[in-house]
Amino acid sequence: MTTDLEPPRVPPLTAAERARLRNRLMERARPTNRRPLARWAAPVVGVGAVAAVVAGTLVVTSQSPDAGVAGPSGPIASPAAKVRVDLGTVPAADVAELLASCQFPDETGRGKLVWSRHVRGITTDSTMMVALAVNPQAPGKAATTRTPPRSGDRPTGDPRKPGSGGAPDFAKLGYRYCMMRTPPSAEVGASASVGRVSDKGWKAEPTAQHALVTLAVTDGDFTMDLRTLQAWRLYRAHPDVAKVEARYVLNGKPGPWTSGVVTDGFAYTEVQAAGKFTSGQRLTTEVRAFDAHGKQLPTS
Amino acid sequence: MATGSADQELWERLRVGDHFALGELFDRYADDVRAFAFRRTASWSTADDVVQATFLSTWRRFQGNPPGPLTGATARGWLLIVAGNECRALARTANRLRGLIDRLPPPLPHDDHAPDVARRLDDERRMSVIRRAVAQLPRHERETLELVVWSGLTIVEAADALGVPAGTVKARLHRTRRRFPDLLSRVDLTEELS
Repeated sequence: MTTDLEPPRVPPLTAAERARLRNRLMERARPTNRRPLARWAAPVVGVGAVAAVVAGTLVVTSQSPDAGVAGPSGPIASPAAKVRVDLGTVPAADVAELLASCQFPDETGRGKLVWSRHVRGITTDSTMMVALAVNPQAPGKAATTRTPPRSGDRPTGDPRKPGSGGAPDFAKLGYRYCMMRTPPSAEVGASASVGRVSDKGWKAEPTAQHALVTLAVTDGDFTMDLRTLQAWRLYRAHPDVAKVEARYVLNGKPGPWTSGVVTDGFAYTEVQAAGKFTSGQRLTTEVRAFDAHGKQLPTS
Repeated sequence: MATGSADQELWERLRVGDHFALGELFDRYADDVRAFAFRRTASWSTADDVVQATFLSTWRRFQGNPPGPLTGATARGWLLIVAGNECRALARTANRLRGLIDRLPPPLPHDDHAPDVARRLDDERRMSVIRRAVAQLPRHERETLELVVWSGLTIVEAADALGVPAGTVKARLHRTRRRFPDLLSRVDLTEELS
Protein backbone atom coordinates (compact mmCIF):
# COMPACT_ATOMS: atom_id res chain seq x y z
CA MET A 1 0.00 0.00 0.00
CA THR A 2 1.39 3.37 -0.91
CA THR A 3 0.89 6.24 1.45
CA ASP A 4 2.34 8.89 -0.80
CA LEU A 5 -0.01 11.81 -0.26
CA GLU A 6 2.44 14.61 -0.91
CA PRO A 7 0.58 17.84 -1.54
CA PRO A 8 0.53 19.15 -5.09
CA ARG A 9 3.21 21.81 -5.44
CA VAL A 10 1.92 25.36 -5.13
CA PRO A 11 4.56 28.10 -5.40
CA PRO A 12 4.23 31.08 -3.03
CA LEU A 13 2.82 34.36 -4.25
CA THR A 14 5.22 36.51 -6.20
CA ALA A 15 5.87 40.02 -4.93
CA ALA A 16 3.61 41.42 -7.65
CA GLU A 17 0.78 39.01 -6.89
CA ARG A 18 1.10 39.62 -3.16
CA ALA A 19 1.05 43.39 -3.65
CA ARG A 20 -2.00 43.21 -5.87
CA LEU A 21 -3.99 40.97 -3.54
CA ARG A 22 -2.96 42.76 -0.36
CA ASN A 23 -3.72 46.21 -1.67
CA ARG A 24 -7.09 45.13 -2.97
CA LEU A 25 -7.93 43.48 0.34
CA MET A 26 -6.88 46.42 2.47
CA GLU A 27 -8.74 48.79 0.21
CA ARG A 28 -11.95 46.78 0.38
CA ALA A 29 -11.66 46.18 4.12
CA ARG A 30 -10.88 49.69 5.12
CA PRO A 31 -13.52 52.25 6.01
CA THR A 32 -15.63 53.77 3.30
CA ASN A 33 -15.41 57.34 2.02
CA ARG A 34 -11.99 56.65 0.57
CA ARG A 35 -10.51 59.24 -1.70
CA PRO A 36 -10.72 58.48 -5.42
CA LEU A 37 -6.93 58.51 -5.75
CA ALA A 38 -6.67 55.35 -3.71
CA ARG A 39 -9.13 53.57 -5.93
CA TRP A 40 -6.72 53.61 -8.80
CA ALA A 41 -3.90 52.46 -6.61
CA ALA A 42 -4.99 48.82 -6.68
CA PRO A 43 -5.35 48.52 -10.47
CA VAL A 44 -1.99 50.18 -10.87
CA VAL A 45 -0.48 47.42 -8.78
CA GLY A 46 -2.02 44.87 -11.09
CA VAL A 47 -0.28 46.20 -14.15
CA GLY A 48 2.79 47.75 -12.66
CA ALA A 49 3.70 45.94 -9.48
CA VAL A 50 6.97 44.69 -10.89
CA ALA A 51 7.89 48.24 -11.75
CA ALA A 52 6.94 49.25 -8.23
CA VAL A 53 9.23 46.66 -6.77
CA VAL A 54 12.06 47.88 -8.95
CA ALA A 55 11.32 51.47 -8.00
CA GLY A 56 11.21 50.54 -4.36
CA THR A 57 14.58 48.92 -4.61
CA LEU A 58 16.00 52.00 -6.22
CA VAL A 59 14.90 54.38 -3.51
CA VAL A 60 15.95 52.20 -0.60
CA THR A 61 19.62 52.23 0.13
CA SER A 62 21.53 49.49 1.87
CA GLN A 63 21.56 51.59 5.01
CA SER A 64 18.74 52.10 7.42
CA PRO A 65 16.28 54.73 6.26
CA ASP A 66 16.69 56.18 9.71
CA ALA A 67 20.34 56.78 9.01
CA GLY A 68 19.80 59.16 6.19
CA VAL A 69 16.39 60.75 6.33
CA ALA A 70 15.71 63.79 8.42
CA GLY A 71 12.57 65.89 8.67
CA PRO A 72 12.29 69.45 9.85
CA SER A 73 13.53 70.20 13.31
CA GLY A 74 11.07 70.05 16.17
CA PRO A 75 11.01 72.52 19.00
CA ILE A 76 13.04 70.20 21.23
CA ALA A 77 15.55 67.70 19.93
CA SER A 78 17.51 65.16 21.87
CA PRO A 79 21.24 65.47 21.32
CA ALA A 80 21.34 61.75 20.69
CA ALA A 81 18.63 61.60 18.05
CA LYS A 82 19.90 61.86 14.50
CA VAL A 83 16.57 61.42 12.82
CA ARG A 84 13.27 63.21 13.25
CA VAL A 85 9.85 62.31 12.01
CA ASP A 86 7.72 65.36 12.73
CA LEU A 87 6.39 67.32 9.77
CA GLY A 88 4.11 69.55 11.81
CA THR A 89 0.37 69.86 12.01
CA VAL A 90 -1.92 68.14 9.53
CA PRO A 91 -2.66 70.46 6.60
CA ALA A 92 -6.19 71.83 6.82
CA ALA A 93 -6.99 70.44 3.38
CA ASP A 94 -6.35 66.91 4.60
CA VAL A 95 -8.29 67.00 7.85
CA ALA A 96 -11.63 65.85 6.43
CA GLU A 97 -9.99 62.99 4.58
CA LEU A 98 -8.06 61.94 7.66
CA LEU A 99 -11.26 61.97 9.69
CA ALA A 100 -12.93 59.78 7.07
CA SER A 101 -10.05 57.35 7.45
CA CYS A 102 -10.88 57.11 11.14
CA GLN A 103 -14.37 55.71 10.53
CA PHE A 104 -15.14 52.01 10.65
CA PRO A 105 -17.37 50.42 8.01
CA ASP A 106 -21.10 50.89 8.55
CA GLU A 107 -20.40 53.30 11.35
CA THR A 108 -22.99 55.90 12.04
CA GLY A 109 -22.44 59.27 13.67
CA ARG A 110 -19.81 61.84 12.98
CA GLY A 111 -16.31 61.36 14.28
CA LYS A 112 -14.04 63.97 15.80
CA LEU A 113 -10.28 64.23 15.74
CA VAL A 114 -8.76 64.26 19.22
CA TRP A 115 -5.15 64.55 18.15
CA SER A 116 -3.36 64.42 14.82
CA ARG A 117 0.07 64.93 13.32
CA HIS A 118 1.77 65.01 9.95
CA VAL A 119 4.86 62.78 10.01
CA ARG A 120 7.35 61.23 7.63
CA GLY A 121 6.23 58.32 5.47
CA ILE A 122 7.48 54.81 4.93
CA THR A 123 9.20 55.87 1.71
CA THR A 124 11.18 58.99 0.99
CA ASP A 125 8.51 60.27 -1.39
CA SER A 126 5.50 59.77 0.87
CA THR A 127 4.28 61.13 4.20
CA MET A 128 1.89 59.91 6.85
CA MET A 129 -0.85 61.47 8.88
CA VAL A 130 -1.65 59.83 12.17
CA ALA A 131 -4.55 60.63 14.44
CA LEU A 132 -6.54 59.72 17.47
CA ALA A 133 -10.25 60.22 16.97
CA VAL A 134 -13.53 59.42 18.63
CA ASN A 135 -16.94 58.45 17.40
CA PRO A 136 -19.03 57.39 20.38
CA GLN A 137 -21.66 54.84 19.49
CA ALA A 138 -23.84 52.46 21.44
CA PRO A 139 -21.75 49.42 22.20
CA GLY A 140 -22.13 46.12 20.47
CA LYS A 141 -21.52 42.89 22.26
CA ALA A 142 -18.53 40.70 21.54
CA ALA A 143 -19.71 37.19 20.84
CA THR A 144 -18.08 34.22 22.49
CA THR A 145 -18.55 31.83 19.59
CA ARG A 146 -15.46 30.84 17.69
CA THR A 147 -17.15 29.38 14.65
CA PRO A 148 -15.56 30.58 11.43
CA PRO A 149 -17.90 32.62 9.28
CA ARG A 150 -19.83 30.82 6.59
CA SER A 151 -19.45 32.09 3.08
CA GLY A 152 -21.45 35.19 2.45
CA ASP A 153 -21.66 36.14 6.10
CA ARG A 154 -22.03 39.87 6.27
CA PRO A 155 -22.80 42.16 9.14
CA THR A 156 -26.42 42.99 8.68
CA GLY A 157 -29.13 44.93 10.39
CA ASP A 158 -28.67 47.66 12.93
CA PRO A 159 -24.95 47.96 13.55
CA ARG A 160 -25.67 49.06 17.09
CA LYS A 161 -27.36 45.82 18.01
CA PRO A 162 -25.28 43.45 20.07
CA GLY A 163 -23.53 40.93 17.90
CA SER A 164 -24.37 42.60 14.65
CA GLY A 165 -21.85 45.39 14.49
CA GLY A 166 -20.94 48.54 16.36
CA ALA A 167 -18.12 48.93 18.81
CA PRO A 168 -17.19 45.86 20.82
CA ASP A 169 -17.57 45.94 24.59
CA PHE A 170 -13.89 46.56 25.20
CA ALA A 171 -13.92 49.72 23.07
CA LYS A 172 -17.34 51.19 23.61
CA LEU A 173 -16.05 54.71 24.21
CA GLY A 174 -15.36 54.85 20.51
CA TYR A 175 -11.75 55.98 20.55
CA ARG A 176 -9.61 54.89 17.64
CA TYR A 177 -6.23 55.49 16.05
CA CYS A 178 -5.79 55.85 12.35
CA MET A 179 -3.22 56.44 9.69
CA MET A 180 -3.35 57.80 6.17
CA ARG A 181 -0.46 57.71 3.72
CA THR A 182 -0.12 60.34 1.10
CA PRO A 183 0.26 60.06 -1.76
CA PRO A 184 -1.18 56.54 -1.73
CA SER A 185 0.74 54.26 -4.04
CA ALA A 186 1.39 50.63 -4.74
CA GLU A 187 4.72 50.88 -3.04
CA VAL A 188 3.69 52.02 0.43
CA GLY A 189 1.34 49.16 1.25
CA ALA A 190 -1.93 49.95 2.95
CA SER A 191 -2.74 53.56 2.18
CA ALA A 192 -4.94 54.02 5.24
CA SER A 193 -5.88 52.02 8.29
CA VAL A 194 -7.85 52.33 11.48
CA GLY A 195 -7.79 50.45 14.78
CA ARG A 196 -9.68 50.69 18.04
CA VAL A 197 -8.20 51.97 21.28
CA SER A 198 -9.46 49.87 24.17
CA ASP A 199 -11.38 51.71 26.86
CA LYS A 200 -8.96 50.43 29.46
CA GLY A 201 -6.03 51.82 27.51
CA TRP A 202 -7.73 55.13 26.91
CA LYS A 203 -8.60 55.63 30.58
CA ALA A 204 -5.12 54.75 31.86
CA GLU A 205 -3.29 57.85 33.03
CA PRO A 206 0.47 58.26 32.78
CA THR A 207 2.29 58.80 36.06
CA ALA A 208 5.72 59.96 37.13
CA GLN A 209 6.73 56.28 37.25
CA HIS A 210 5.12 55.41 33.91
CA ALA A 211 5.46 58.48 31.79
CA LEU A 212 3.96 56.91 28.66
CA VAL A 213 0.73 54.94 28.33
CA THR A 214 0.50 52.97 25.11
CA LEU A 215 -2.58 53.66 23.02
CA ALA A 216 -1.60 52.06 19.72
CA VAL A 217 1.16 49.77 18.54
CA THR A 218 1.86 48.97 14.91
CA ASP A 219 5.18 47.21 14.63
CA GLY A 220 4.89 45.53 11.27
CA ASP A 221 4.16 47.88 8.37
CA PHE A 222 6.02 47.05 5.16
CA THR A 223 6.66 48.61 1.86
CA MET A 224 5.35 46.25 -0.79
CA ASP A 225 8.81 45.08 -1.76
CA LEU A 226 9.43 44.02 1.86
CA ARG A 227 12.55 46.19 1.92
CA THR A 228 11.46 48.66 4.59
CA LEU A 229 9.86 47.68 7.88
CA GLN A 230 8.19 50.39 9.92
CA ALA A 231 7.02 50.45 13.52
CA TRP A 232 5.02 53.31 14.97
CA ARG A 233 3.25 53.90 18.24
CA LEU A 234 0.96 56.39 19.92
CA TYR A 235 1.04 57.18 23.61
CA ARG A 236 -0.65 59.33 26.16
CA ALA A 237 2.21 61.30 27.70
CA HIS A 238 2.69 62.57 31.23
CA PRO A 239 2.84 66.39 31.43
CA ASP A 240 6.54 66.17 32.31
CA VAL A 241 7.38 64.47 29.00
CA ALA A 242 8.95 66.97 26.63
CA LYS A 243 10.46 64.65 24.06
CA VAL A 244 10.43 61.01 23.09
CA GLU A 245 12.86 58.89 21.13
CA ALA A 246 12.70 55.40 19.73
CA ARG A 247 15.03 52.99 18.03
CA TYR A 248 14.63 49.53 16.59
CA VAL A 249 16.68 46.49 17.52
CA LEU A 250 17.22 44.11 14.65
CA ASN A 251 19.24 40.92 14.95
CA GLY A 252 20.62 42.22 18.22
CA LYS A 253 21.84 45.47 16.69
CA PRO A 254 20.15 48.74 17.62
CA GLY A 255 19.28 51.31 15.00
CA PRO A 256 19.72 55.07 15.46
CA TRP A 257 17.60 56.94 17.96
CA THR A 258 14.75 58.66 16.20
CA SER A 259 13.11 61.71 17.67
CA GLY A 260 9.34 61.45 17.97
CA VAL A 261 6.56 63.95 18.57
CA VAL A 262 5.11 65.20 21.84
CA THR A 263 2.19 67.60 21.71
CA ASP A 264 -0.97 68.17 23.70
CA GLY A 265 -0.44 65.26 26.07
CA PHE A 266 0.15 62.66 23.36
CA ALA A 267 3.32 61.23 21.90
CA TYR A 268 4.19 59.51 18.65
CA THR A 269 7.28 57.42 17.90
CA GLU A 270 8.32 55.79 14.67
CA VAL A 271 11.31 53.84 13.43
CA GLN A 272 12.20 52.27 10.12
CA ALA A 273 14.67 49.56 9.21
CA ALA A 274 15.89 48.63 5.76
CA GLY A 275 16.78 45.15 4.65
CA LYS A 276 15.11 42.09 3.26
CA PHE A 277 12.22 41.14 5.50
CA THR A 278 9.68 38.39 5.55
CA SER A 279 5.94 38.70 5.76
CA GLY A 280 4.65 38.98 9.29
CA GLN A 281 7.96 40.14 10.70
CA ARG A 282 7.78 42.67 13.53
CA LEU A 283 10.25 45.32 14.51
CA THR A 284 11.33 45.36 18.13
CA THR A 285 11.33 48.92 19.41
CA GLU A 286 12.90 50.66 22.39
CA VAL A 287 11.37 53.92 23.55
CA ARG A 288 12.59 56.54 25.99
CA ALA A 289 11.17 59.81 27.25
CA PHE A 290 12.80 62.97 28.58
CA ASP A 291 11.61 66.00 30.48
CA ALA A 292 12.33 69.56 29.42
CA HIS A 293 15.70 69.48 31.20
CA GLY A 294 16.83 66.41 29.32
CA LYS A 295 16.35 64.06 32.25
CA GLN A 296 15.20 60.62 31.24
CA LEU A 297 11.82 59.59 32.66
CA PRO A 298 10.74 56.07 33.55
CA THR A 299 8.42 54.63 30.91
CA SER A 300 7.84 51.09 32.07
CA MET B 1 5.99 30.97 10.23
CA ALA B 2 4.23 32.83 13.00
CA THR B 3 4.21 31.41 16.48
CA GLY B 4 1.04 30.63 18.37
CA SER B 5 1.48 33.43 20.87
CA ALA B 6 2.05 35.91 18.05
CA ASP B 7 -1.19 34.74 16.46
CA GLN B 8 -3.04 35.12 19.71
CA GLU B 9 -1.86 38.70 19.99
CA LEU B 10 -2.87 39.31 16.39
CA TRP B 11 -6.25 37.72 17.05
CA GLU B 12 -6.86 40.04 19.98
CA ARG B 13 -5.99 43.02 17.82
CA LEU B 14 -8.48 41.83 15.21
CA ARG B 15 -11.09 41.47 17.93
CA VAL B 16 -10.74 45.14 18.80
CA GLY B 17 -11.06 46.06 15.14
CA ASP B 18 -7.43 46.80 14.38
CA HIS B 19 -7.29 47.19 10.60
CA PHE B 20 -3.52 46.90 10.61
CA ALA B 21 -3.82 43.44 12.08
CA LEU B 22 -5.69 42.33 8.97
CA GLY B 23 -2.67 43.22 6.84
CA GLU B 24 -0.42 41.24 9.16
CA LEU B 25 -2.77 38.28 9.06
CA PHE B 26 -2.64 38.43 5.26
CA ASP B 27 1.16 38.63 5.31
CA ARG B 28 1.35 35.53 7.47
CA TYR B 29 -1.18 33.29 5.80
CA ALA B 30 -1.93 34.44 2.26
CA ASP B 31 0.37 31.76 0.82
CA ASP B 32 -1.26 29.03 2.90
CA VAL B 33 -4.76 30.10 1.95
CA ARG B 34 -3.86 30.38 -1.72
CA ALA B 35 -2.23 26.96 -1.76
CA PHE B 36 -5.30 25.47 -0.08
CA ALA B 37 -7.61 27.22 -2.53
CA PHE B 38 -5.65 26.16 -5.58
CA ARG B 39 -5.62 22.56 -4.45
CA ARG B 40 -9.36 22.79 -3.90
CA THR B 41 -10.27 24.58 -7.14
CA ALA B 42 -7.45 23.74 -9.59
CA SER B 43 -7.65 27.33 -10.83
CA TRP B 44 -5.18 30.12 -10.12
CA SER B 45 -7.63 32.91 -10.72
CA THR B 46 -10.25 31.31 -8.51
CA ALA B 47 -7.63 30.72 -5.84
CA ASP B 48 -6.81 34.43 -5.88
CA ASP B 49 -10.50 35.25 -5.51
CA VAL B 50 -10.74 32.84 -2.60
CA VAL B 51 -7.79 34.56 -0.89
CA GLN B 52 -9.58 37.90 -1.16
CA ALA B 53 -12.88 36.51 -0.02
CA THR B 54 -11.36 34.60 2.89
CA PHE B 55 -9.60 37.54 4.46
CA LEU B 56 -12.43 39.93 3.72
CA SER B 57 -14.99 37.56 5.17
CA THR B 58 -12.83 37.08 8.25
CA TRP B 59 -12.47 40.82 8.68
CA ARG B 60 -16.21 41.34 8.35
CA ARG B 61 -16.81 38.64 10.89
CA PHE B 62 -14.52 40.40 13.34
CA GLN B 63 -16.26 43.69 12.60
CA GLY B 64 -19.79 42.43 12.87
CA ASN B 65 -19.69 39.65 15.41
CA PRO B 66 -16.20 39.19 16.84
CA PRO B 67 -15.35 35.60 17.73
CA GLY B 68 -13.98 34.64 21.12
CA PRO B 69 -10.28 34.34 21.93
CA LEU B 70 -8.19 32.12 19.69
CA THR B 71 -8.15 28.67 21.22
CA GLY B 72 -5.90 26.93 18.71
CA ALA B 73 -2.18 27.39 18.36
CA THR B 74 -2.48 29.49 15.21
CA ALA B 75 -5.15 31.20 13.13
CA ARG B 76 -4.32 29.04 10.12
CA GLY B 77 -6.97 26.42 10.80
CA TRP B 78 -9.66 29.05 11.09
CA LEU B 79 -8.62 30.67 7.82
CA LEU B 80 -8.53 27.39 5.93
CA ILE B 81 -12.04 26.52 7.08
CA VAL B 82 -13.21 29.94 5.89
CA ALA B 83 -11.36 29.37 2.63
CA GLY B 84 -13.18 26.06 2.19
CA ASN B 85 -16.51 27.82 2.64
CA GLU B 86 -15.53 30.48 0.13
CA CYS B 87 -14.48 27.80 -2.36
CA ARG B 88 -17.94 26.27 -2.16
CA ALA B 89 -19.60 29.65 -2.62
CA LEU B 90 -17.45 30.46 -5.64
CA ALA B 91 -18.14 27.04 -7.12
CA ARG B 92 -21.86 27.72 -6.94
CA THR B 93 -21.37 31.07 -8.66
CA ALA B 94 -19.11 29.49 -11.26
CA ASN B 95 -21.73 26.90 -12.09
CA ARG B 96 -24.25 29.62 -12.76
CA LEU B 97 -21.76 31.52 -14.91
CA ARG B 98 -20.79 28.38 -16.81
CA GLY B 99 -24.36 28.03 -17.98
CA LEU B 100 -24.23 31.58 -19.27
CA ILE B 101 -20.86 31.15 -20.99
CA ASP B 102 -21.99 27.94 -22.67
CA ARG B 103 -24.55 29.99 -24.48
CA LEU B 104 -21.96 32.45 -25.81
CA PRO B 105 -20.08 31.92 -29.12
CA PRO B 106 -16.67 30.26 -28.70
CA PRO B 107 -13.64 32.59 -28.47
CA LEU B 108 -11.28 33.03 -31.42
CA PRO B 109 -8.22 30.74 -31.44
CA HIS B 110 -5.47 32.32 -29.43
CA ASP B 111 -2.07 30.77 -28.97
CA ASP B 112 0.05 32.00 -26.11
CA HIS B 113 3.39 30.28 -25.80
CA ALA B 114 4.67 32.23 -22.84
CA PRO B 115 6.38 29.70 -20.56
CA ASP B 116 4.73 31.07 -17.47
CA VAL B 117 1.27 30.75 -18.95
CA ALA B 118 2.07 27.21 -20.09
CA ARG B 119 3.31 26.30 -16.63
CA ARG B 120 0.24 27.69 -14.96
CA LEU B 121 -2.04 25.83 -17.34
CA ASP B 122 -0.06 22.69 -16.73
CA ASP B 123 -0.40 23.13 -12.97
CA GLU B 124 -4.13 23.60 -13.35
CA ARG B 125 -4.47 20.50 -15.53
CA ARG B 126 -2.53 18.35 -13.07
CA MET B 127 -4.47 19.74 -10.16
CA SER B 128 -7.74 19.00 -11.93
CA VAL B 129 -6.80 15.34 -12.14
CA ILE B 130 -6.03 15.26 -8.44
CA ARG B 131 -9.26 17.08 -7.66
CA ARG B 132 -11.26 14.47 -9.49
CA ALA B 133 -9.73 11.82 -7.26
CA VAL B 134 -10.28 13.91 -4.13
CA ALA B 135 -13.89 14.47 -5.10
CA GLN B 136 -14.50 10.75 -4.69
CA LEU B 137 -13.59 10.88 -1.01
CA PRO B 138 -16.30 11.64 1.53
CA ARG B 139 -16.30 15.29 2.49
CA HIS B 140 -14.90 14.77 5.99
CA GLU B 141 -11.99 12.72 4.65
CA ARG B 142 -11.42 15.27 1.90
CA GLU B 143 -11.18 18.07 4.45
CA THR B 144 -8.78 16.06 6.56
CA LEU B 145 -6.52 15.41 3.59
CA GLU B 146 -6.55 19.08 2.61
CA LEU B 147 -5.93 20.43 6.08
CA VAL B 148 -3.48 17.94 7.53
CA VAL B 149 -1.59 16.47 4.59
CA TRP B 150 -1.66 19.30 2.11
CA SER B 151 -1.78 22.36 4.35
CA GLY B 152 0.37 20.99 7.15
CA LEU B 153 -1.98 21.56 10.09
CA THR B 154 -1.25 19.38 13.08
CA ILE B 155 -3.86 16.83 14.14
CA VAL B 156 -4.78 19.09 17.05
CA GLU B 157 -5.06 22.20 14.87
CA ALA B 158 -7.23 20.38 12.34
CA ALA B 159 -9.42 18.95 15.10
CA ASP B 160 -9.81 22.42 16.55
CA ALA B 161 -10.67 23.94 13.17
CA LEU B 162 -13.14 21.21 12.27
CA GLY B 163 -14.66 21.03 15.73
CA VAL B 164 -14.09 17.27 16.15
CA PRO B 165 -11.90 15.23 18.54
CA ALA B 166 -8.30 14.62 17.56
CA GLY B 167 -8.96 10.87 17.46
CA THR B 168 -11.57 11.41 14.77
CA VAL B 169 -9.08 13.31 12.64
CA LYS B 170 -6.55 10.50 13.05
CA ALA B 171 -9.09 7.89 12.01
CA ARG B 172 -10.16 9.90 8.98
CA LEU B 173 -6.55 10.41 8.01
CA HIS B 174 -5.87 6.71 8.27
CA ARG B 175 -8.79 5.87 5.99
CA THR B 176 -7.76 8.58 3.53
CA ARG B 177 -4.20 7.32 3.36
CA ARG B 178 -5.49 3.88 2.48
CA ARG B 179 -8.01 4.99 -0.06
CA PHE B 180 -6.69 8.06 -1.85
CA PRO B 181 -3.64 6.70 -3.72
CA ASP B 182 -5.84 4.06 -5.31
CA LEU B 183 -8.41 6.66 -6.34
CA LEU B 184 -5.69 8.84 -7.78
CA SER B 185 -4.21 6.07 -9.90
CA ARG B 186 -7.65 5.18 -11.20
CA VAL B 187 -8.31 8.76 -12.24
CA ASP B 188 -4.86 8.96 -13.85
CA LEU B 189 -5.57 5.82 -15.82
CA THR B 190 -8.90 7.14 -16.98
CA GLU B 191 -7.17 10.33 -18.16
CA GLU B 192 -4.67 8.34 -20.19
CA LEU B 193 -7.33 6.19 -21.79
CA SER B 194 -9.54 9.11 -22.70
